[in-house]
Amino acid sequence: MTKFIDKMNELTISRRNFIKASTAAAASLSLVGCGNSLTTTNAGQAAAQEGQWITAACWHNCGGRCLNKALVVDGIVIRQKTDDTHPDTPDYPQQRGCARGRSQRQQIFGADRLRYPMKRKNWNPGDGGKKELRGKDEWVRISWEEALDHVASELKRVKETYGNQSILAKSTGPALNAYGGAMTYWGCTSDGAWPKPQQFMNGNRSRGSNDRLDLRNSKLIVLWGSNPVWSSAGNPAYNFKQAKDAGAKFIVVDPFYSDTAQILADQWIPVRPGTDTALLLGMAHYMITNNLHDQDFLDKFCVGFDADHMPEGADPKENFKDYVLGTYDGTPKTPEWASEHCGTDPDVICSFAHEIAVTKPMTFTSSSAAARTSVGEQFCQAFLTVGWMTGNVGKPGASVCSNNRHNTQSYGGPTLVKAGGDKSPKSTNPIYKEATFPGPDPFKTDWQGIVIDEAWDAVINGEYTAGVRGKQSCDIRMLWNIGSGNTLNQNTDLMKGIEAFRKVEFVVTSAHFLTATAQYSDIVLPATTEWERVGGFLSGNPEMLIFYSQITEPMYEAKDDEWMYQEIGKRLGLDPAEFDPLSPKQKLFNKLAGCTVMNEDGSGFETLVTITAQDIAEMGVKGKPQEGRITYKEFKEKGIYQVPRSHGDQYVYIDYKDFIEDPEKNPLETESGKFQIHSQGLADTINAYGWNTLAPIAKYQYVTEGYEETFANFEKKEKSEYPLQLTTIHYARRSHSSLDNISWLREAFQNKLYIHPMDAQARGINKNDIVKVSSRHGAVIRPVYITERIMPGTLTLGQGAWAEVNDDSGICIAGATNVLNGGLPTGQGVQAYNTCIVQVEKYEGKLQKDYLWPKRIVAAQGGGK
Amino acid sequence: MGDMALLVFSFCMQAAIGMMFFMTLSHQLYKGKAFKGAAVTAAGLSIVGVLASLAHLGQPLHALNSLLNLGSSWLSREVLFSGLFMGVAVAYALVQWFKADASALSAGLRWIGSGVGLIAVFSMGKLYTTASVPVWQGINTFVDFYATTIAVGALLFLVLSLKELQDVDKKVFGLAVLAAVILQAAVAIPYAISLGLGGSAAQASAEILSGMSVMISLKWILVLGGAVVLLWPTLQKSIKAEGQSSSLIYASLGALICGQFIGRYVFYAGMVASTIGLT
Amino acid sequence: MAQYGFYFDMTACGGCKTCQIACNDRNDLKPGVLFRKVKGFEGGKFPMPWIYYLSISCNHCQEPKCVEGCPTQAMHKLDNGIVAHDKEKCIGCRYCTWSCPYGHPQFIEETGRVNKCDMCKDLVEEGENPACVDSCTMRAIHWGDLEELRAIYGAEAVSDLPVLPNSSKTTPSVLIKPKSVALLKDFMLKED
Repeated sequence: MTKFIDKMNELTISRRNFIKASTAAAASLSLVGCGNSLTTTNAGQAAAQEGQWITAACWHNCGGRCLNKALVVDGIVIRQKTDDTHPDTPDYPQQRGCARGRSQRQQIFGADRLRYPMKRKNWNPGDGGKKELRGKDEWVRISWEEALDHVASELKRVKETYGNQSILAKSTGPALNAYGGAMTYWGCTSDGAWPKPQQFMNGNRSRGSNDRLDLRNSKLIVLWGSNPVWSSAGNPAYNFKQAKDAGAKFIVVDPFYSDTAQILADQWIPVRPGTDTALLLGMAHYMITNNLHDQDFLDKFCVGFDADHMPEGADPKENFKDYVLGTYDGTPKTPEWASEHCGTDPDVICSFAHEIAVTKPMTFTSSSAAARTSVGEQFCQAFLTVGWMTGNVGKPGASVCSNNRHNTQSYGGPTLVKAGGDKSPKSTNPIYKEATFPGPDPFKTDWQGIVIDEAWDAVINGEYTAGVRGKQSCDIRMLWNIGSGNTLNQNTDLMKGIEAFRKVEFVVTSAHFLTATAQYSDIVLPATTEWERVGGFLSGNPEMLIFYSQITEPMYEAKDDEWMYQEIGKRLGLDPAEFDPLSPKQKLFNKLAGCTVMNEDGSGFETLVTITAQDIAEMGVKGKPQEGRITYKEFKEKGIYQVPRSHGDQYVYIDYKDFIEDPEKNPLETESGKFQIHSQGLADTINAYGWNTLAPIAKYQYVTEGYEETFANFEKKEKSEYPLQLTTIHYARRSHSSLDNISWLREAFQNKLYIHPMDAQARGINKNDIVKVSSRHGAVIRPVYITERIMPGTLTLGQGAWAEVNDDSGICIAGATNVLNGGLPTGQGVQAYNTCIVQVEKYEGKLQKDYLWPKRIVAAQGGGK
Repeated sequence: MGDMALLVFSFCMQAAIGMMFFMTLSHQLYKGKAFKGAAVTAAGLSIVGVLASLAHLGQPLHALNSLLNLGSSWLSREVLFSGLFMGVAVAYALVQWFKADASALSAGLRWIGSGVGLIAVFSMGKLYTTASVPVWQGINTFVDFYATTIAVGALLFLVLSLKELQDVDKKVFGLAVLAAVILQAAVAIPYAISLGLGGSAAQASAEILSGMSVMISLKWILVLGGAVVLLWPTLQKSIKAEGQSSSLIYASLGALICGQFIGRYVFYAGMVASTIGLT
Repeated sequence: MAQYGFYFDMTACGGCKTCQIACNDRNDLKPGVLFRKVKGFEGGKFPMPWIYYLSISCNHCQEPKCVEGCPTQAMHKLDNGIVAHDKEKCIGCRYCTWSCPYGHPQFIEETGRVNKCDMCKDLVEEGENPACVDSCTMRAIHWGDLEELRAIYGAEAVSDLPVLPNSSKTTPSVLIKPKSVALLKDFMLKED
């Protein structure tokens, strides 16, 4: 290793030498414990060279969106920084990036990048060869020509023999769409159960809260299952901190006393995963029996709360209040009743309910964590209902915001600045014309698509659920993973996924690294990252738009996914000029020219960018000069346009203000025009999906792998063989599975299983032990973090680790949580990541710290493995 | 073990310095004798020590830079005095072999060597006791270093000079060794107790040391036992090279070297530097 | 003599380690070596646990033990108070790793020398902030003239905490606004 470093130090930083050196590195290092970055340049030497700061994409689906800049010297990035384009103030803050973004050069220039196309040694065209060797076969480097020929001929063969619906793809892309499309899978992975309840209960007002600056008017802010420090890095936690500093009290509800809670929370309220509904019902009971709910608000703006205010045609007995009081079912949903399920102390339930009922204005906000549960819709119903019971809607500081998460967390209101479209012809998958998110209409019968949780089962057993049509047969012969991420790792039921990958006739994957999906494929195609592409736009929070540029030439033989599609299309006799006619540059220009920004007076949008004829000529594209607010050069140089904000400015937005001011004139897009505490439409829709039943009002039902299933007999309190509840949450080390291979991040965040001392002691587990976590679906091993911060009986493990499944033991040593999360379709096609029951035991084997693991470099990529 | 180089350095250096000290003392006590073997061994040990110290460095070729901060660094001073001692010890050995008649020069070198050596041991003690390593702080480190210097130095000198010292009163050796190790033990007891009462770094050290209790017990058995065993032969009027008495001296030497070496190993093994959260 | 220093607002720190990674990036550090690091300390009992994070680097002490003990003068104090390290002089004796009570300097096997935070002195000389300061997503790390920092934040700030060695040993140039739980003596180091 030392030798390598020395060698690197001797080299001048030229791209050619860099690539040579990293090839040598890959060959010589089975890379134990060495940095995974190849930018081991001599710092002094690098500093001596003039570099250029270029805006680099930080494009991951991390829940944040920040400005990332790279200091580029001769195609190599020697340093990064974040937003310094304007002075930083709380009202008009810089868009500062997180640990993940700051280590991205270790990703782009990683020694483990895929360099060349390769095929599995024992793969044969036509039948897949020795399919059981997928995941452990040797790799053989091949030319792009050979790779693309194979992919095209396999695609042709499968289509012609079995039909397009025998190809399973997460995203199809224009060429595959033009070739007849593919069976796809769909689901509400991120949003959990929110989409349908929002559609029916509040008229699709997803994610919204009041404006960011209005948060500071709140006296109380409830964060339900929100940990922006990890899952919405960038400014959201900072924005909340401004509200705290302005005097807001924070209550955080979560099974885990998170890193966000430790900054913001005046009070932490622990709740068992998947039992939030019970907690909310207990709170509702307290509010109703103490007459603390806002009856006027409920009467005027909601339907379904009590028998006197039911939507048309609904059974008056099916009202929320009587359900809570137990009028008809004989079970009052008292705080004591709730506590038995949710584990929250009854006194705490009362005081919490009291506090949200009497503190005004209050912001009641939930992410989707509690909705990423089996029948998570019941939580969504209960959350909105209890929020509305407090009447905190449509006023400064008052907001009931559902699904306020990801990069809009802590923001509300319209997008103030946005990019234009690329003007490519619209391309849809003929087999599944709807968006894969949030899923198909279950009442429609013109789609073929598999919910994520059933995908691997469908491959193996030839059957999937199709809404009102019930079970449909399918015959999947090919897995198509070009431009679609790390599906094997990130779909639920990973162990069954491996079985599915080993069953089909052909698997092709494009990837940056040898991810699990690539590892279990027959042909792997090296793809470029955004740093190697022509540039583009990134949006996140409503106040800014990022314009990133190309940082470096494609690494080795890596190619854009679009290019792969075009080349495959050509081989199938399709004309790229038809299915993807615009060049990447032209698409970029079209987006640029179409950028708009809200007027100063907030009345509409105006053109953002001034583009001159000379700019157009320099870009080598077709277009017309235009006048806008800033020049193209300035935009490119800064890499961002952010709308300046200040206290009391014209952009301040209060969600539902118009509805509250005049509900008759400004009805919601719900059936009744009001908030629907009772929605038969919602219940019918969920029932139509075919996996669960849901009541039209918030009711608590026991769910698959919920708390009650940790008991063999809940009434007698006899524990089952899976007595612990696991949540699999977004982890600070990575963005889903992206960036999990970065040594700096692996060192900083060691991916341990969080367990309470009581649960550890009961199992003889001590500090520094390795444990085995088993569910009905698989087992992983991990080091433990024994902490009082996690509710007893519950565990948490960050999702997205790069699966390393040992074929003999069946154990994943990386702790990929989808080994534990089964394929358990529920509700509207929700992935129930947070209802998972497990057992934990001490594991006697050893496990090296993740950051010391060898990189995934195979001989076919110039490595030694 | 990463600190093996330091262990070898400090142990050999102290042994050599101790030998030089007893050589000086013996020249005062027993006129007209030469201790060539001891002189060469002391020089050899000091060379081994200095070489070992170089092995500890990440940049041994730049070792001389270590003399750049004599103004404030006890490590600089230790290097200086250790280096000087080695020079003197080597010069002294050479003089014994090649210019045995230069007795004034010899005496001067002996006295300088002893003085410089004892200052070197003091510097060593200083540099360890001023580090942010609670387990090393306090009088114990000095006592330990000087006890090793005296005990191992005396014994090595004695063994290598048995022939020359055959017919003289040697009880000074036995008593010096015994006194040194008794003092060493007497200081160690309150020190061990205080360690457990210290800050978290000291307690972390205490925990490591309590895990090494077998080794530590062995050290004290060897050190104290060796010193007691030495009493009998050193109280004898004369000792034959192959007699029972000399066997006891050899045994004592073996015990003391092993015991003090183990002790020094424990000294480094128990090291926990103060850091954030561990003070 | 001027003295630059850091101010750290613990009440705002989420333990996201952006500063740590920004420092890794700035100094091109290999895993296993950290100049700025974020350490968590926790305690309490469910349902009242507590945790706090401390982001800390070299404290550029006014009486630095590393400088005093360094045999080569590789560790030295600049006129602006930065404790700098001259790698040309360093012989890799590691004594500074023993003498710093904060455990800051680190021996780098590959170079055979010690290395440490230099407060991004080249950036500072160009009028910029150290990399960690401008990276913080919670704006919890500030940098500047220590006396100015003290004038702005001093009322709420301390240089001593139960997890830190007594500041009288080295007079660190760091001010910390502690969470109240950071004053508790019964803490445990959080595992990463």
